[in-house]
Amino acid sequence: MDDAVNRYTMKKQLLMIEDEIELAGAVTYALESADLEITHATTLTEAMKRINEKQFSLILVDLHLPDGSGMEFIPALRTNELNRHTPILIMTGDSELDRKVNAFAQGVEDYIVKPFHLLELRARVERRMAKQSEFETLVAGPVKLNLQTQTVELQGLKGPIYLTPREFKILHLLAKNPKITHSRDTILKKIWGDGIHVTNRTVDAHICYLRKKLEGYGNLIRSSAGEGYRFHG
Amino acid sequence: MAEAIRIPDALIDNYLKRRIEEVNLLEKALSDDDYSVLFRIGHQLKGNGMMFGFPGISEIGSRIEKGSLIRNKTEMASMIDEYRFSLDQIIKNHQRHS
Repeated sequence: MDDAVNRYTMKKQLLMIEDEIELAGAVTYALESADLEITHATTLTEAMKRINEKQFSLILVDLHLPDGSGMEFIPALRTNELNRHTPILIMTGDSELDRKVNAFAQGVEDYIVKPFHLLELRARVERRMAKQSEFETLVAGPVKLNLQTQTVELQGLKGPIYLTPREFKILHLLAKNPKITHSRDTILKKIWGDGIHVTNRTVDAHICYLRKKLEGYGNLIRSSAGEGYRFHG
Repeated sequence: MAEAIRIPDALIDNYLKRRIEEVNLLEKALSDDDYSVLFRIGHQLKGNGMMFGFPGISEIGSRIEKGSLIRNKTEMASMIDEYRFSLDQIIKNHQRHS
């Protein structure tokens, strides 16, 4: 199975930072039915390693951990390359208003006070995941881009199509700004960056492959004579 | 009304086993005047008891947590005794029904 297929079939990833083993077991049990794959860390140190290994769709954080407060984790997360946009749900026994307000001020998305009902936690996690899916998806006419797995689904076609990372970036650039013509130079600059020496022909070649992979929808990428490319979704 | 999530017996058994070990930790912490340990364990019990279907554990955990801030040794000792007794009852009840 190649990497693109792996990414597509992967369950949504959730990181739980909780030092109470039995409680973590109960939460894992409750959330498994929400079709999630759960990674469990018992310390901040372990959590820091995990966020460098993969991208998570949600992180559950306890505040009282053996090596510090869960709040210390937030600034580190926000500068992490893979997970800087990952939402955080705090689950803690601290019910004081100040703590809650401070947590939201630091950028956490949700806060649940222990003891809580597992059903309520699952409902909050499911809602958060659904919102995250909207955030991770771009729909442009019959083309749906999954920004997390970097795969594309086409209306009427079963299963995803797999693009190279550059093809995906080009399609994303065009699809998120439909009907706007992007010059070859703009595409080069945005996709390849300034430091790489490639010619306009490279853009044309990538567009050509992209159109083929989009099968019957290849004509959604249109060229404007001598100007560049635009997407008609 | 939504149906509650029923935690498997094996997880509950492990949970209760850990609580029995923890009573000894509470007693040791009290004899060492280590109120930070009493606070931590009380805080955790408050948070985890109800999730496993034992609201009584959450309730006494909350009292241990608050009591650890007041630092009245006699009251703390009596709370820990009460907890040990309640835990014993809870375990017997759980064994009868599982």
